[in-house]
Amino acid sequence: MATVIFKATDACNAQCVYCDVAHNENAIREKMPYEMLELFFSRINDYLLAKPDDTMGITWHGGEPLLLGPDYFAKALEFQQKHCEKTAHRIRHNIQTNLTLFKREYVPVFKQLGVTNFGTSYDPYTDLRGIGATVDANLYKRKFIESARLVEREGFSWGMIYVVTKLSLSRPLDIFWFLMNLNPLGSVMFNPVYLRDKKLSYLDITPEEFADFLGAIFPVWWKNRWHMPTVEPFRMMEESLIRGSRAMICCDSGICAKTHFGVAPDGAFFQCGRSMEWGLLGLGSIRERSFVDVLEDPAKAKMLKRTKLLGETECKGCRYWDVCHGGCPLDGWLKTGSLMSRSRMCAAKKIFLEKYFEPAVNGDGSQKKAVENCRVAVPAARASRPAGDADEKQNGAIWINLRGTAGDALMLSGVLKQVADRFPQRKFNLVSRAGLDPILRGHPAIGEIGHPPADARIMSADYWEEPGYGNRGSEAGRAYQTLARMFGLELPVDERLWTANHAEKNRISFGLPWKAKSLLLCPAADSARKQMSIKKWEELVELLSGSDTLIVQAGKRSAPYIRGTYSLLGLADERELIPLLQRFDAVVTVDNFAMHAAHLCGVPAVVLWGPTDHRVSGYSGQRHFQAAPGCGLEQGCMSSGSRELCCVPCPQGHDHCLDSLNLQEIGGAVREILAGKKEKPWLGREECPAGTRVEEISLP
Amino acid sequence: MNLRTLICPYDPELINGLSNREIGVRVDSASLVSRAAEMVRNSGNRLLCVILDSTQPVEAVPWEDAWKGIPILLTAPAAGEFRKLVHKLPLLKTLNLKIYLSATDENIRDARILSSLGVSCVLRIEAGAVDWEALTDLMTYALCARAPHAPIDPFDYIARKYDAREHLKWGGVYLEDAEKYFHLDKEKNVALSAKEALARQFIGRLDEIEKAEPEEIAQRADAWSRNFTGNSPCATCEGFKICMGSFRPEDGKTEGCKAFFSETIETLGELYAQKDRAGKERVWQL
Repeated sequence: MATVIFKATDACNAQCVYCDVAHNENAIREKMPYEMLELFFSRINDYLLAKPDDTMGITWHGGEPLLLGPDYFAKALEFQQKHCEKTAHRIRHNIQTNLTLFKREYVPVFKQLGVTNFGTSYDPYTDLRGIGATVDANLYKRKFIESARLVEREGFSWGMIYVVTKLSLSRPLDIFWFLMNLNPLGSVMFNPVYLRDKKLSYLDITPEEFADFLGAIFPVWWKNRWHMPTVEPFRMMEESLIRGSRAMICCDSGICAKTHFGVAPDGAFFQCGRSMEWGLLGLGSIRERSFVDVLEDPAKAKMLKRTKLLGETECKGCRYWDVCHGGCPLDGWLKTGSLMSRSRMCAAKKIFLEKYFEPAVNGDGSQKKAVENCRVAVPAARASRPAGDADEKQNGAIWINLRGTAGDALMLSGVLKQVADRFPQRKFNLVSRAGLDPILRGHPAIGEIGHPPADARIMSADYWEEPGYGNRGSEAGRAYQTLARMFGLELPVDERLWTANHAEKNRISFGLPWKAKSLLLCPAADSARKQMSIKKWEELVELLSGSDTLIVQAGKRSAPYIRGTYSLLGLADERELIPLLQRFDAVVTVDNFAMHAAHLCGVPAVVLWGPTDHRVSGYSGQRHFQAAPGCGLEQGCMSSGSRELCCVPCPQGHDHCLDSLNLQEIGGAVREILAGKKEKPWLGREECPAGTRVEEISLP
Repeated sequence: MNLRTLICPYDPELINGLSNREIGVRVDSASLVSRAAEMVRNSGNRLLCVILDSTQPVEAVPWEDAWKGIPILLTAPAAGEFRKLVHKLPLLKTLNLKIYLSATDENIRDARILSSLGVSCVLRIEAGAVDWEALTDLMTYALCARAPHAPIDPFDYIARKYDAREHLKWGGVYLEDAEKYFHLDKEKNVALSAKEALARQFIGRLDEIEKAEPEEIAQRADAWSRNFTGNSPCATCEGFKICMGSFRPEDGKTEGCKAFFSETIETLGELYAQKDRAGKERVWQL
């Protein structure tokens, strides 16, 4: 994903002591003019059209972006709608704000822009962050806390950066618990302070001090990490060193020049946000250059060579190269004046890993537990490696243990396809499970399907047990994204499904009495809690019945029949369902295999949700009806923490949440889809004589 | 605005003036329990429970067969003499009953006995002189003991609702949650707790509040966040997620409550881990 650090103004209501923008005389306090903002979105569209597989992350930065006001964001939305009609779905907005100016008026426009999370900064115990010329820290704290509550009430999530200074060093655990308690659902990142102004040297910390600060916190986080927010850099190190993930923040990725660039309020391009603040690495102006141009600028290519250079010189032989890549070039420049040198904070990373991370992870038997719990059991403190390297050859492929349902198998298949596309050499084995194997048979990323040997390295695909799963405010909490993260894909990924092993031909639909419109109902699910009562389904069928509509029910043989439908119960297993489903104009279903299959086939679906949540498991483009749980379990009885309830029937009886859905609204949505259906070549089905070859629709 | 459950005094005029609401009706005499339940049920409202505020210990309450089928919340000063209470157990165990006791040393002991006898009870924990160590023992018994026993709240509630990634408000166990319960007097004045209703600290009249919710309710719901703007020791407490600063003693000595809530979280973590492990073992036995 390309990321633009977008500073539409450098103005800020706060005057934090260590901030480079607040004290920069050259900062541009005015807002970027509307005509340039429009050009910005036009450039984004050009980029996304030129790069059809890429997405564009816009990080609204500053200064303080909320000083722009809701109208400015409304204007941005207007320009996005105007210029990015076909590419808007590949744009992700993030906002880095001090939150103190957040108000309700922002909510509608942020929601329309697709903002789900705010990045903020906070410091509970020092007066370094404050509002106005007097740096009023108390006012800052009060407003921040009030705004954070408001943000949560409005359904957004938020995370924090904590800047570690000399003043932080005396109470790392107090700071840690404070931040954990304030926002248990969010995330925290500890960054060392970067100072250019010599007058502020009293705040500066050495790499050793930063390592010790992290080291004081790490054992507590490590012990409790399964029920704590994401804490960086710990989580990233765990992901990289234990699970083999290669997803990293810009500073450590070694490829920031390829992915990041910045736009200043006057339209000037820079390498990134920090280089913009320091006036380094200017790359021309938005008036003259496209985004593709900027990302392919020779200066950026030169920056990319830094990684190679460091790998062969200063950092040669470093065990931690794969989680560091020499760190931020700007930080290297700060120390040596050369962008080609490594960050001085590399030393902090090394000290931390050797002194704190490895002993905690390897010692006291917790490593054994860690390996059990981790998705990919790779020896600790071994740098992540390209997929399919010698280690995999030596130790054999990892076995994936997939529990869950056929829908989960289809989702896993989609994720593995993306892994296979990126790393064609990489192979996994699959622990055999009746009912799930067929979906993954013939998959390019799967070698063997069977029973793992005693010493096999096993990876669980239980995405619902992953930290961060089910967080409704964040895209990363979605089921598909969580699964993708477990396999080391960089988020966000397109939620594409895939299977090699669907039935070649649809063998059962020729006998159906096709009508002008056709509707498939799939009311059953693996858990009774996810089903609507048969009575309600029958009422829905009554609502939708008409002389021009064929309504078919599909499912297992044991599923209860819905009166008024044409029954295919027991006739189509998952493999058969896929080609069958393509023949229908729409599907009405619950959270089950058919919901995933409809997404795979691109068939419009109306999906009914109760104990599970469409924001976590549903797909965009489908019509979702979410019942509010009336049982007091606000997260639903099958959220990430209570999935075991899936086997137990809902005790609410007639008050079961799914039965509270409004059938008129559901019926309306189905009619809308049927009314807007497109003619397909195989529509003349009722006249189609038996044995006539009907063109199959190829799967995505 | 979500419709709150209303906790009302036993007043036919008041209750008949409400419709389609969930109501907890408060009585101060055992003789009114059946009548109050019937009155709410016939008024077009739903009965949450009858709250019997007893000044007598549990053993001295004149329990009746007729209370079967009525959800009863009994607040009593103590359990009383078990040699007398034991004779009433067969009836008590057939009732839909929760016994509320304040968390005195004696009641902490008696709650364990009641629980082991199969009677569900709730300990009312308040900031101040609580024997946190004894409470920790009781929590461990309530959550971990393998011997069959009835639930003891708030521990059971906390264990059921605990989500490690969220704050847990459990004032609702005591019917004190500004987002769920309103406590009314006969004139439909609203307070946010029974104690405030008794002290006539009202925030307004029901009809006005339901038209435009006063800021005070949101403030009350967010009161916990004030721990993060001052120098509250609660902000850095490991048990904050399930305490939210509600039990900080006035003398500022937080060692007791900190140990109790931290231990509770640790116990819950262990319980969840056990549950997870159990699930995994089952899978490998296929």
